[in-house]
Amino acid sequence: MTRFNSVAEADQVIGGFLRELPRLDPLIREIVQHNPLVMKLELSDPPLDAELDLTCTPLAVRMDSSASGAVGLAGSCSDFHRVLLGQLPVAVGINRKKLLVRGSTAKMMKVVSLFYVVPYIYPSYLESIGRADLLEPGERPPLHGERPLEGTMNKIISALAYLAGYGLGLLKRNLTPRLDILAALEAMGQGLSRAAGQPKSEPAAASGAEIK
Amino acid sequence: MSPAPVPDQTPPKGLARELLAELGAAIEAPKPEGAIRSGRPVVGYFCSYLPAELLLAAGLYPLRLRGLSVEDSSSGDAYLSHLTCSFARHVTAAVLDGVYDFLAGQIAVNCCDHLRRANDVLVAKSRLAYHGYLSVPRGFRADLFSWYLEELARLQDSLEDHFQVKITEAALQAAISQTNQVRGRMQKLDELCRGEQPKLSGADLLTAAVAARVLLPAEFVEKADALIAAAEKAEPLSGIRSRVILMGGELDDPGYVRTLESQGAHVAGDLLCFGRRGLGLPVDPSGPALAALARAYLYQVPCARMMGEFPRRYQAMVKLFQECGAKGIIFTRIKFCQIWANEVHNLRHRFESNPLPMLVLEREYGTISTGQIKTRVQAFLERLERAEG
Amino acid sequence: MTVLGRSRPREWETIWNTLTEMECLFSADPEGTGLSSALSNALHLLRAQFTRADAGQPAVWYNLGFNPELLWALGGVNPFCVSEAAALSSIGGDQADTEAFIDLAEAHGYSSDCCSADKAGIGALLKGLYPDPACLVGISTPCDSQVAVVQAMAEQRNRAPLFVIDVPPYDDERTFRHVAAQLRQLIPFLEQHTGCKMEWDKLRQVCETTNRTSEYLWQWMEWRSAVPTMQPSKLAAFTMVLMITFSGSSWGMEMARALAEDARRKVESGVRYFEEKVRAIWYQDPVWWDIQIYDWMEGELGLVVPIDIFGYYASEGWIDTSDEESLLYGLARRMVNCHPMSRQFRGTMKHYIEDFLVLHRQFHADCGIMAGHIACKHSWGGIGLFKEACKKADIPLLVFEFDMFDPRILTPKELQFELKRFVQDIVLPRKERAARR
Repeated sequence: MTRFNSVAEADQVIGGFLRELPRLDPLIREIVQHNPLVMKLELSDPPLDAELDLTCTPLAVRMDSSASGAVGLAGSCSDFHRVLLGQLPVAVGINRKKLLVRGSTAKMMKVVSLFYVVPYIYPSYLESIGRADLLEPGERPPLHGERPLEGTMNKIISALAYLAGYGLGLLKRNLTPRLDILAALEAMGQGLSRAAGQPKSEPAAASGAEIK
Repeated sequence: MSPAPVPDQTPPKGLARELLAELGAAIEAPKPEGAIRSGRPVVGYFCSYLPAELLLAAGLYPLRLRGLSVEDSSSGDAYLSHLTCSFARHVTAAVLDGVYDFLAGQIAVNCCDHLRRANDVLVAKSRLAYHGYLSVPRGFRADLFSWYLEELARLQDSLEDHFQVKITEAALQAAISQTNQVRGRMQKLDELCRGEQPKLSGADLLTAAVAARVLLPAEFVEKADALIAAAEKAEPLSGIRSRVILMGGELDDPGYVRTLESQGAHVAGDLLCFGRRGLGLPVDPSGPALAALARAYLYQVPCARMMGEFPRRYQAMVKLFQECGAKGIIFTRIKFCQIWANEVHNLRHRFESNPLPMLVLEREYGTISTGQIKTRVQAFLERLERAEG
Repeated sequence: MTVLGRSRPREWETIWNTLTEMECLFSADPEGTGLSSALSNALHLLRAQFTRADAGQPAVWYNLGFNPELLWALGGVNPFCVSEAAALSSIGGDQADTEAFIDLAEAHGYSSDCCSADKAGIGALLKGLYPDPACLVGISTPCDSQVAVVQAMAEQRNRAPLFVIDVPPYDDERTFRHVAAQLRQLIPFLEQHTGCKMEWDKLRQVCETTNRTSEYLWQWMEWRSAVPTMQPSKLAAFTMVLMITFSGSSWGMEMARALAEDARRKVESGVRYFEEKVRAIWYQDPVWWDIQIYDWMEGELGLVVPIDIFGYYASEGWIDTSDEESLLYGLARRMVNCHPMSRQFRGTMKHYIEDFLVLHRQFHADCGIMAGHIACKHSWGGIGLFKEACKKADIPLLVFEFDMFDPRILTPKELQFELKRFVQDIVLPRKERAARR
């Protein structure tokens, strides 16, 4: 199991990933159903606090914020890394006392869907920062139970999205290993947002700095 | 509109005042002198649903328990916590601290959670020799009447067994006759209070009503007769700004009512446990006495503990309001009393379609926040006067 | 988002969506079947309630001391406990809605002294969250707050016909028969006002389902008494939920079965998710304004609640289904002597104290925690006697004021402080001293 040896390392890996999230603002807002809330991450061993603020657009990620947030998730950096990899389903983490959640159940359930999606992004991010060594091999357990999709249209779109994702995966594996999945998703988010009548947003600032 | 001058209501003078003072002294004494004189074992009880006639017929001295003789309810607080009714805590403290050492026993009723727990403490911790219990049902259905009658019969057996007496039909009928006389006198005193030219204040009436629970019937009737005669001759009260009715649960302190009336309110009628509501209906002496008692006590104007009977209570309140020529209602309850607290919600719901002015006063048993009460009553009376004008 | 194809009041949509997401989330854990079953069966019940409401089936409201077997046996009615929306908002919805219900009830004159379960119930009722009732059933247990809420709900809903069930404070045959006789009278009342006919065979089937549920609950308690208890503490209170809302239904039976099975597997597999350090009998209302706090207790303090007063299911729950009399008698006895809180509080403090001492022994507890729901006058009124009993039995007892649906009375931080101090400064040192002797 991965252990982070220092705050700097945890900040680079996990903090760095979190700081990329504003690029995916439109997608994330769709996933959390446009709920404006603040989620606090309180990680330990080593200590790393972060705040995802969905009350502003684009969403803001703050490190070492003292705000408590409407919902909170606490756990070790190792366990959270496994959540991001999809190796530790959130439900399993909660039930085994590796993850502690607090705050409004309703709001937490809006946010939890993020953790079904990030395992498809986080590995690419790790590769992009040269930390493919942190990838853990093995079968990924189911992250959630069956979701009864409402309506034929959702099923069609999901199938198309699966095909697109498969195509991207093939490209990345066979032709362009340095394909930036995040950039692709960011573009998808831009398209989503534009279709909803919102103006195209500027690219986010370079990662590593606090983003407001 | 400038406020009207606020004189105190002028109390009845002379003999009536002396007689009321005697009644007042009788209710202030923890141990009634009548109990000493009569030689009857004194049995305390809590609730208006307990027929005192049973105790009288058993040769006992029924004493409605109160807690005003203790200022410090610490021993009650320790067992019942500060989150329960202060009346329950004061009475518990009074028993535990020895104020009621002269009691031969007590009888509890499942009127509310607070008094049920007070009873638990008294059973576990007091030195009282007898603890009786009456489970009063929560409604008026015929099957619930049967339960209540059965409970009275069980209580009768329990009293007979412990006190080694036989409660005969004749003794019960005699007791009924006596208490009916008490009710009759209270009716007359009530009329002197609620008449167009009242001779007695609400505080005076409550003094008499409490005395009716403290004195033996014969003694009460004698004093009441003298008071009625004196009051009838007295000058009517003056300084009345507005007539109100007083409703709520436990209130046994005439001083509280006096404070309410000090700003010019006249409490022309009440629906209180220790007041007119709790005296019950006159008992129809025909037929078996126990059944007659059961009918009179169960079907009295219902306490808020009677689930499903709010419509009846409401009608009784409206009737009293009209009969007293009242302009407003003062509702009082002891803090933490849930069943009477909820009454406010129910009344407000009715007032959405039939508005009646109501002042709600929450209080702690044994203390009178005089300044606060006066201010709020003053404001309430001004509101009534504005509405009138 | 709609619920079953229709727009619903926002609060119900929140509950539905949250429970749906929770079910989706927690069904990913193959070792968490107890919790998953509770969530999925809650959704089944809600689905049935919405479907019946959409079909125009008559609604019957009742308060939280009642068990709905007779209502299921009627068929064609839609039972609602008036506190349902509040409980679901807190446990599986937005706690802010529960607080809004409480505030709304108080704004309408409902006393702050009354139980928040009932205040929130009245608030939900004022918001029109339940279909209008054909009639109401009000039972006097477990407390004064029930006496109050029954009258309030009757008053609020155009004074819909109300049937009162009087439960005496005694613990004897006479009392059970008295309640059984009232249940018998309740049947024609329900039939008259709902237009549905109760079939005795159907009631028999419902009570047989209740009996199966009872068996599972007893098994469940047995497994939870094993040391350590790895089934989450937050599930300990679910007997109460089963009794109030699911009693007699197949959903309730399945929930109880899954809880028992889940507890059994955890014991037999010897799984260890955390180090259990302290076992406490939580002897008052659970923390339903933030059920996650139990995870904190377990993870941070090693504090486990193997059983609480809401979870304890007494042995008198069996219903003899051989004839009508025995059916009603069994239902009555179960309702007054097994229903959590009704059992412990409707009479003297005897049951409350004795049950605690028995549970403390049977569940191998180290201490007691009396999270004193401030409206529970029936327990606060007995606190002196309870403390004396604990002292005599040499059981450390933590007592604090609290509210199960309103975190404004005792905040999460304050609660954590109380528990941490108790566990770390009192219970653990005691255990260490005892171990050294």
